Amino acid sequence: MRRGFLITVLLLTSSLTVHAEQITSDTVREWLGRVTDAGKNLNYQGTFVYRHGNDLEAVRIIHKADKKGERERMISLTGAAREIVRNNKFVTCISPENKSVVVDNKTPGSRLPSFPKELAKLDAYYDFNFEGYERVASRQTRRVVIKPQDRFRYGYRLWIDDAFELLLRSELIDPEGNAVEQIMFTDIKVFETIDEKLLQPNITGREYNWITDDDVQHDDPMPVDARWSVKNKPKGFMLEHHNMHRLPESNLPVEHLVYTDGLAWVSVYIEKLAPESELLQGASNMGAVNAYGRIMGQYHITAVGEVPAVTVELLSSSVVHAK
Amino acid sequence: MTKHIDEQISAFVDGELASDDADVLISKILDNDELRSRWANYHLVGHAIHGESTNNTVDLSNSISTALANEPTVFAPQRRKRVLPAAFKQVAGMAIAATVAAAAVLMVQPEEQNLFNPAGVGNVASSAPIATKQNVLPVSAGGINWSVAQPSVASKLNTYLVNHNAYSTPVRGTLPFAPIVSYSDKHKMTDDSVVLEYNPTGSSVRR
Repeated sequence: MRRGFLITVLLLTSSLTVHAEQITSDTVREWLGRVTDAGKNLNYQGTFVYRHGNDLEAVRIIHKADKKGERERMISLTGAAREIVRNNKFVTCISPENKSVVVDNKTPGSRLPSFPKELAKLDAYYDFNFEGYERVASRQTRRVVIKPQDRFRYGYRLWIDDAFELLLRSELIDPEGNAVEQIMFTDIKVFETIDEKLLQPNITGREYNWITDDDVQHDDPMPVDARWSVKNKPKGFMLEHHNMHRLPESNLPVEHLVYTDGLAWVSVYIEKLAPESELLQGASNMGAVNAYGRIMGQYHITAVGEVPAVTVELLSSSVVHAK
Repeated sequence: MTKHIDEQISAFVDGELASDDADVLISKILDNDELRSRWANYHLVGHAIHGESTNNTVDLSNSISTALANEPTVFAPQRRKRVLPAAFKQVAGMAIAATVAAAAVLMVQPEEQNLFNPAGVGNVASSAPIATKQNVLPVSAGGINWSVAQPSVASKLNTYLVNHNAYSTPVRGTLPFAPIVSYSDKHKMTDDSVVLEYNPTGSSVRR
């Protein structure tokens, strides 16, 4: 009798283990694809905390999706009172402290994590694993790990709601295994529908400066110098964009090359040296974002991105101007 | 009864009143001049206790949004029209004008006025040039900043980062409030800029 019970327990345990192992990396990637859809298509309200470096912020989010499209409002609950409201056309940032309202009409995306559609090719640079079930915001979640196969990109630990497939917690992991950034919902509710009023920003408009930065987003296309390239890149990093911009503050054109492996993104900026300007030479970082600057002949080169310091240094140092 | 209401107002001002109770309380405040006055006084007291300047904008979004989330009909249109800031201003005085304005927008906001609707903002943008040239400086979120000594270098890196964010779709999402752009004092608005002013009667004024 007792032995029978033990065997049953053993069988149950082993069958559960097998079940967890049966979750293939393909299945995990399917989940990640659905996470992005859930974040876009569901109506929800919740609060998440956001840790970067030693800073901790709390943000309230209200997300609505219907036939009119996606609407989202984020309200900072800590520090200065700020709001971000976005719809299909605009992102509006309201900052009472600075008395400014910024309307940005570039194609807006959610500020919450989302995943590219093409995850299969990432198999060559990352491992996808399911690690078991955990509770977040008092909901059952599946814990998933995306582990890079080299030290040139960050990894991720992700907690996916078991029922709604919303991402309830995420951590950005550096090559040493530390979480350099975390987002975690402390409460979340999914609704059939959400009252339109809840999406209205809480501002008066009085004494506010209304700013649009069309100039930044809509600069006239300028010809690029195709002789610029980055010779040594980590495996899988491909050139995604090559543009010429005029950035705010300086009117000098800037050569802009964007490289990505599908998950990690790095920009390389190349500017002609201007007299008496202070330049970044060497490494700098802001939270998980790293930058590396150097002077090359008559040019200043800066690589910036959410990648480890070694990656921006490699890209910045490998810029070549073909003769 | 009065004591009970006072406690409720106090709890509400502190954001500690249960949402169902808050709904009932908001209805009462909206219908009663004396309660409105007391509610305003609680805010003044609160600011004094917390050592905050009373002419700062106060974020009421949390407690009011919570109340709204649970019973939006409290702010039914016919009721909103009656509760115009005039009554608030009389009892509260100029010192809490900012507070009142913040609350009043939520309560007054007529449907037909879409000044506060992002789509409406876009309409304004297309009919009148509210854009100003440049001078847009990105600000980092929550006090963290680039690990560099020179402000001009940090500013340049911020410019790069904002541009980088526009061309990339990182998994983790961007810093929730990092793209908030603001003015530094040395980059004042130029004269041709347009400032939209909120007018409680319902139309927007450009000056």
